Amino acid sequence: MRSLQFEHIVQILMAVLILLATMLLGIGDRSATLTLVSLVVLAVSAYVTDLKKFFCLSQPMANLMAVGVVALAAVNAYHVDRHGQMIAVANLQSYLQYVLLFQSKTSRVYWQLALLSLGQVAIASTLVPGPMFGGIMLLYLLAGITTFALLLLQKESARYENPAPAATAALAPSGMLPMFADRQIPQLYGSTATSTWAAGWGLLEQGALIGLVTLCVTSLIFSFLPRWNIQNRQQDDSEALRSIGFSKKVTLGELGEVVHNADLVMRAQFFRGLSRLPFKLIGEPLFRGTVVDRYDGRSWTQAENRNSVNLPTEQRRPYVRQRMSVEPLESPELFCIFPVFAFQQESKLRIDNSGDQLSRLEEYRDRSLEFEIATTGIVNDKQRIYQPCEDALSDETVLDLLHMPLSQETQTAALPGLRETADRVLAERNIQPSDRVTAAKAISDWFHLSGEYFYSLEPQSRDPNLDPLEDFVTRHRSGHCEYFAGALVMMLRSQSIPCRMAIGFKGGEWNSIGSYYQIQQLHAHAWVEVYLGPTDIPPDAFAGDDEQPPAAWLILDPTAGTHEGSQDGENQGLFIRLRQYLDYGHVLWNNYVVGLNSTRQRQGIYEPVAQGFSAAVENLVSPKVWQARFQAVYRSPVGAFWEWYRRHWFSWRGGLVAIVFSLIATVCYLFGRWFTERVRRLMGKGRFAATPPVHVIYRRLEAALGKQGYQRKATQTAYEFALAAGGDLAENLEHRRVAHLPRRIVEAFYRVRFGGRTLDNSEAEAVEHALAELELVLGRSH
Amino acid sequence: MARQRQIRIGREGFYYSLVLLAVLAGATARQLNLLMLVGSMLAGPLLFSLIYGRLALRRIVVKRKLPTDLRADQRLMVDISVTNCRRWIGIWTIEVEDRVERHCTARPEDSAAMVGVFYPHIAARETKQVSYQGQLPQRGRYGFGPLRVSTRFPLGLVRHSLVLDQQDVLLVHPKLGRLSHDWAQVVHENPAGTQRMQRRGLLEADFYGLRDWRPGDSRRSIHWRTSARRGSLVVRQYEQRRSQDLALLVDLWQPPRPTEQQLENVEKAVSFAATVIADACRQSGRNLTLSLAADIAVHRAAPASPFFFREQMDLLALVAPHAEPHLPPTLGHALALVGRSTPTLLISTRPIQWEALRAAAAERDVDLAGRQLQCIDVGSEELARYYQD
Repeated sequence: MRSLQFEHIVQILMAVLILLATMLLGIGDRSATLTLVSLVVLAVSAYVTDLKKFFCLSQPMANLMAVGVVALAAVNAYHVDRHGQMIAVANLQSYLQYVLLFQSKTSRVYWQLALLSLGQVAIASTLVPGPMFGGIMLLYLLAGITTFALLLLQKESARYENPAPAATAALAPSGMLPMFADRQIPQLYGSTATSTWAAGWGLLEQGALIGLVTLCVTSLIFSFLPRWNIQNRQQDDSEALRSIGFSKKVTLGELGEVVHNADLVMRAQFFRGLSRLPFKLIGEPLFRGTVVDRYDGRSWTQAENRNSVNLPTEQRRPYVRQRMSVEPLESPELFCIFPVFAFQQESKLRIDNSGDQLSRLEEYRDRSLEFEIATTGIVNDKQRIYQPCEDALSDETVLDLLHMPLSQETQTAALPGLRETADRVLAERNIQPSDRVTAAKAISDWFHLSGEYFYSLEPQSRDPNLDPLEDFVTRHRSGHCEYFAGALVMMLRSQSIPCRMAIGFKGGEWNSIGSYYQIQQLHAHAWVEVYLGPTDIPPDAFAGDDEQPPAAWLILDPTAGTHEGSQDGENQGLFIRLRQYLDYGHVLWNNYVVGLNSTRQRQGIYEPVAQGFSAAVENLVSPKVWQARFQAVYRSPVGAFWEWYRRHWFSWRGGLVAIVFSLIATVCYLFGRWFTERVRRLMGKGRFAATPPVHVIYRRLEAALGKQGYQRKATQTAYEFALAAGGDLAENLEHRRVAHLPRRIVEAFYRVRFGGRTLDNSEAEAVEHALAELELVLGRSH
Repeated sequence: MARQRQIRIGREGFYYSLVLLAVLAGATARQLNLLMLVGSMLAGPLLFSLIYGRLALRRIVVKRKLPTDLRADQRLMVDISVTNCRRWIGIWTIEVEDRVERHCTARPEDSAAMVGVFYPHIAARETKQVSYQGQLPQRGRYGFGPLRVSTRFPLGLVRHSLVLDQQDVLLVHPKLGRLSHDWAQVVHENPAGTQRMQRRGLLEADFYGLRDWRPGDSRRSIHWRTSARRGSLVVRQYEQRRSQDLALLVDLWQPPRPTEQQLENVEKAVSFAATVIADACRQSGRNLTLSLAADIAVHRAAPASPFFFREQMDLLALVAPHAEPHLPPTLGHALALVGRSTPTLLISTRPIQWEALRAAAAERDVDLAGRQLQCIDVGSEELARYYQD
């Protein structure tokens, strides 16, 4: 019976294994067909072959079917691409499993099923790079361990559970020589009876332990197995995101659509100098993607075509490293804080010749990308307002930055309302346009302070006879960041202040678990960059730098009502916290599992381990370290106490303290023992088979029977006494149900006392229960 | 107790290792991280198997308990108890194999046999006991051990074994048969047999009947009630028990190349002799004499008692036949030590050689005439008259 239960559980777990493997394949192939078909076949085979035994494939028939299946799969795989061939192989493994499922289940068949499912998992590993693979793989591992542990139990138990033979039967259990087969004497092998309850829980515990050990071993082997290719071959098959607004032409209104989208764009981390610890910026960082400077009334474009060149590698100080992990995007533009330089020649990245836009090479488009570059645009953990320029702009470029659209009718500068507003703002504040910084800041602040402009993502109806920016500034004063930035650019240009609009991302969600910014589409933003020539740069703009740059860009963000401070995850709900954990897990999976390459392995595993080991050895053997430790202890209250105690060693105080300490230690020890024993008893693991001392068994029996007036005569043996008392008890209706117990107790007593046997746990428990029940019934009626 | 450890990778473990190496090799060659992950996960259970068995078998205590005595026709039950001395961790799928070998066999083709018991699970600090049973069909000395404890948990990939040099010896006595009524008549009802008068007393005799008083009868034996009724003196009659000494001579002969029947005859003779001794030792007050012509000559004489019985059983368990063509003279010589009126039984595995016996007895001035000498050839049909298996 127990073997049957084991077998059923093994069949169920094997079915789970097969389903998990097909699920993995289904995720990779984006199809649930295989999983569903496997489920149906499993159910049918379980009923037809295993349970009812209506149908069972013979070995020759199964072999024939397997050959046919292989031939069919080979034909199917002949004309397809690599991906199709992998799927065909995986399907072949499923078909072979189906053939095996309709065979009689032996240990060999189970191992073959497991091997085929492992093959499916191996194929799935090339199709499913996401963290879900790890989660399902964990379940697969636990199911596999439990399945084969149970299979082993079932197989070994079945070997020994043979019924007692007849007198002339000569059946020997498999694997064992019969004793003296020439005499035809049958043999009987016993196996211990284990209750399903205890064994089941124990097996789960053991399975968990095995799983834990396996995880540790997996981590070690996986981490330290050397990688030698810089580029990991495993590719991400996720579709490229469509990035709106990050191209060289931006149409007014498109950015508003983007900011409703919560798709992840990239993750960013910042490191001071050569530090390994990421830090969070003060204020929201602005990651520039593209700059546009020509406005034609509806769209912003770039005035000139820019050439791509390699990143500069000349190091400047102070610098901050920015490590970006960008999701697949349609456009080649990348986002970061400028100005940038690289530590070594970056083969994947390019920068335009003016140093304004970062992009990637054509072959790295449509895939996730990771890169690390440095920037001098961050000082004292805060993004600079004044971004340094390598070179001053040419006059022609400056003119482009002053370009205003012309009215089609009059061919004069359009946007009179903007111009008038700008004039008015400066006049009210008595600011000269020649003071670019002050003027620019004043006009930018006016959007914040006037109280007339409102940030909104909702589409706004505009006067079709007016330019949208003109309408925004003069009539319908609500819009999103494009309008604010665009309006500011035009207003500044109306005052002959050269400037441009920058588009990128602002801020992002700070993940405090992994210490990185999580930038989504909804963080898309537009702001203004004002060109400052050598005479326009304030004297304190670059104080502390090695040298004054020839030019700079003043960054202004005129958008009113944007979120103040980044969403740093602090003081936020459990759901957001959970989401951050999940995202960080995703990052770890991508970086240290799927994307583990030689560089990351060296930096993230080998070097920290080596450093940690060196530090540990240093801590152990360095005399200076030990000296410092001792001094620290000596200076602490413990040292003070010890000093006091030394002085009072032979005093009554010292003695009292010693006694108290000893008492405390003893009490703690006894309490610990008592607590441990209680816990063990609660968990059902008492002490060693609590076989009561032999004489106690009999004394308790006598005491229990004595309550009903039964006394053993001198001429009676214990067994006779028990029989006599049991006979009397059987005649009493109230005691009838315990009448058999005295005899059983005495038999156990005899076995131990005279037979020299010991009672195992189950027998001891049975005796204890019998005594307890007897005491209860007889004591109750006393 | 010596302990020897062994570790062996089974067939499943071999194939598992192959698959593991193939996966890791493929993953490393193609630099596929997820496949490396799969391979690393496969390594965990194998490593666990390599370590677990060693730890599990380190702190276990195995004990074997044999029966104190056993006859060849009795069922053998051996208790094997395993104690898991670990505090926290239970152990799984423990197999204990015992080796049973017959020593001092006259049949060299007999060989050792292995028998095992199985423990699916033994919790921490728990003792479990399992018995294996069987039948040892032949008398002799049997050696038990060494014990081999093994486990293949969790996946059956690796077998860890611990060989415990725990040896025990069990002497299996010859099996006993049944003596017939004819035998009882031969031995117990011989009117000319030696009578050893026992102390008279009511408790020593059975009440037989009443008879008229005769001069010389004791007054204590007068049955007063009946005497009063009849008006004449009536005394009680008692049956005196007559205890019979017994001498047993056994000629355990077997040719150098015995047939199956001759081998069987030797065992019959031993069993018959053992049965006779067992029957004789059930009654106290007898003197028993055993003279055995076997590979060694044995002569024992003592009052019948359980100790004497056990001693002779131990002797008969190990005795082996001789191949002397003629009747050993020791048997004839033994007659000199046996009383003339003591019933004497000569058990032989061949036709009785009267002349040789007479000649041997004559060497000790013993005349066979007048002796209560019963000879039984176990190969003849006469044995069935007195003894059955």
